[in-house]
Amino acid sequence: MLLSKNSALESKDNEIFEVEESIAIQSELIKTMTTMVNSKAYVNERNQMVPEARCRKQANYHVEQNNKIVDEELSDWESKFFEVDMDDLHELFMAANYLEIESLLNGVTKRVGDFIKACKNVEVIRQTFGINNDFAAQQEEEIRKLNSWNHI
Amino acid sequence: MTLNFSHRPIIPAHLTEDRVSPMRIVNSYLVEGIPQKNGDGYLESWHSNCEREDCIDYGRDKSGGQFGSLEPVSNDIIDLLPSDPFGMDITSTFTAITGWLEDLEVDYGGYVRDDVGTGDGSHQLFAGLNFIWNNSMWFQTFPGECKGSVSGGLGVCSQAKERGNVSDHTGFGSAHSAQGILCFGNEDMVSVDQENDEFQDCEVCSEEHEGAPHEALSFAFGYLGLRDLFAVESVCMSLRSVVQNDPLLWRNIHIDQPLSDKLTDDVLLQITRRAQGSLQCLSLVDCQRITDEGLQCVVEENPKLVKLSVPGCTRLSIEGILNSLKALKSVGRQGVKHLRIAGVYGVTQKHFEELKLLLGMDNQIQQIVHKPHFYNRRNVCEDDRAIDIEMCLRCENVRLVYDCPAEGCQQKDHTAQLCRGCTLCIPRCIQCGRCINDGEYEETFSLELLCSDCWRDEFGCDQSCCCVAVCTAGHDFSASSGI
Repeated sequence: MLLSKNSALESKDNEIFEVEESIAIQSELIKTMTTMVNSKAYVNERNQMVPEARCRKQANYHVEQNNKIVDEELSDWESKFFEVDMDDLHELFMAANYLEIESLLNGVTKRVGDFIKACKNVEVIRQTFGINNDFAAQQEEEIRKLNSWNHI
Repeated sequence: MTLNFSHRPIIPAHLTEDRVSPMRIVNSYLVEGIPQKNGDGYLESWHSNCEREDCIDYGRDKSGGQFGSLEPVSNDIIDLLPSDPFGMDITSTFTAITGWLEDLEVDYGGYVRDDVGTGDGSHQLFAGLNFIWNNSMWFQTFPGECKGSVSGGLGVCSQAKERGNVSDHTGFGSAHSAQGILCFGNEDMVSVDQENDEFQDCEVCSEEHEGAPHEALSFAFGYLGLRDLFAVESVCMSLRSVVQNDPLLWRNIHIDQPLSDKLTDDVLLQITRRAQGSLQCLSLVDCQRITDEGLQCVVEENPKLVKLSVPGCTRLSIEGILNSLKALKSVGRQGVKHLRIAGVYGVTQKHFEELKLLLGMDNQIQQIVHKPHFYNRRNVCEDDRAIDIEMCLRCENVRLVYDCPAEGCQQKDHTAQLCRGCTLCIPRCIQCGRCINDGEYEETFSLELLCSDCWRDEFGCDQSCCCVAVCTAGHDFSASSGI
């Protein structure tokens, strides 16, 4: 069995992760860098922006994803993987966005969508995500009027 | 009795041991050394004194002269007795309690101001409210004999406040509202606490830009349904502009209950305009206020429409739908390829042929085998066939035609005996979709049919007496959805 090529990824806090190249190139960013650098058996990339925890999560995510061939198992595993709180989700999103990993990005945003759906009303959404209400009173009144059909 | 906070004792300990209430009033003066409001000097002393004994002695010294009962001057027993031992004189009770609680307000105001310092107003409010909440709890757990009077006094106080006998301190406005909270039940205090918790959570999870929405949020909008999108739209200005101006979010619009009842033509047009002409799939389930004209407007403005589903939209007619589809075709578009019009009445064979033409069905291979379509409550055809209705072979009407999931009906291959037809020709169980043989079903209040197995599953009995409103056997079918 051929030994797949391994990429070594260095994170911001100088920890080195070795992942199979086939997994590493799921990140569009790494893929671009790899093709540009003319990949060899051992490729050392620098991930300056990504702190360690995120990087490890990426590596885990992809390894597991590739291992789980059966759909049911994959969806179970994925739902457990994304059952994290808002801060972790935020980190995962930043990492997925920077590394441009589409499947991870989809998973994170879906989870964020679930958070939004779980909010009962607008005020709870604001509190969950820490968003300030920056509408002027007049604008709020207008919005209420426009959406009045929804509240009959 | 131990006092839990150090500033001053509310009720001096030694006095409660031998008095029924700490607020006994004699001739509208307080007996035990708790000063009334008129004694301004006392208030300052209450603020600054931390020693219990000092307070009491001070109060006693000062008030001894005023409270005749403490230093009787005559030997007559009548003079010795207090004139209003049980606080029966209501006006004096009010005054005393009001004064007492005003003292509390002033005191709490000072306490919180000192402690919280220059925090922002709302934080101070919450801190103050929490402080008062904690101390009101302390009041509630006071020795039994005082409890009734304290809570009763508070209840009375609320009325007094409402009548405008309000203390005139303005420095700590939130204490006034806290005062109101003190007068109510525990529920309000609980909600204050919750608000405080949420306030803290909000601080914890706020992003780098204080209070601005994170960019990740807009990625998540694609997963949201219409109701959630409307909620998000009202959160803040930037999210509002994202939701309203991104046509990708509005390419597939699915409107179901409870929005269906409220949806009018104008609102539908307003929503579909957000797609900026790129609307592809429109699904209106049970939208009974949508008219033919409204639908036509929508379709004309969105020529890229490919899938149209309007089950249960009773104001739509087959002619109106045909007109809308023709309008699309006339502008040279490929037009709608998937149509769901279950529930539209009066579809004749001629209409059906026209529909097939507009949907391009005559070009398709006629023998495409679709997934079997079983009868159920939802009544929506979810596979990818071009149109959900077809001609029933038994009655030759154009209606929804169902297959049969019953095992006995699967093996029949002679077309005439195939268990496939509209519900008028072959009555079916609403729950499992199987054809109903004679004598093996029950009819529910909503005129749906249930086969005996499903009846048993839903109601747990075989008795036909359950069909009536009050079952004489006392069966409870309140949990069922059929009735």
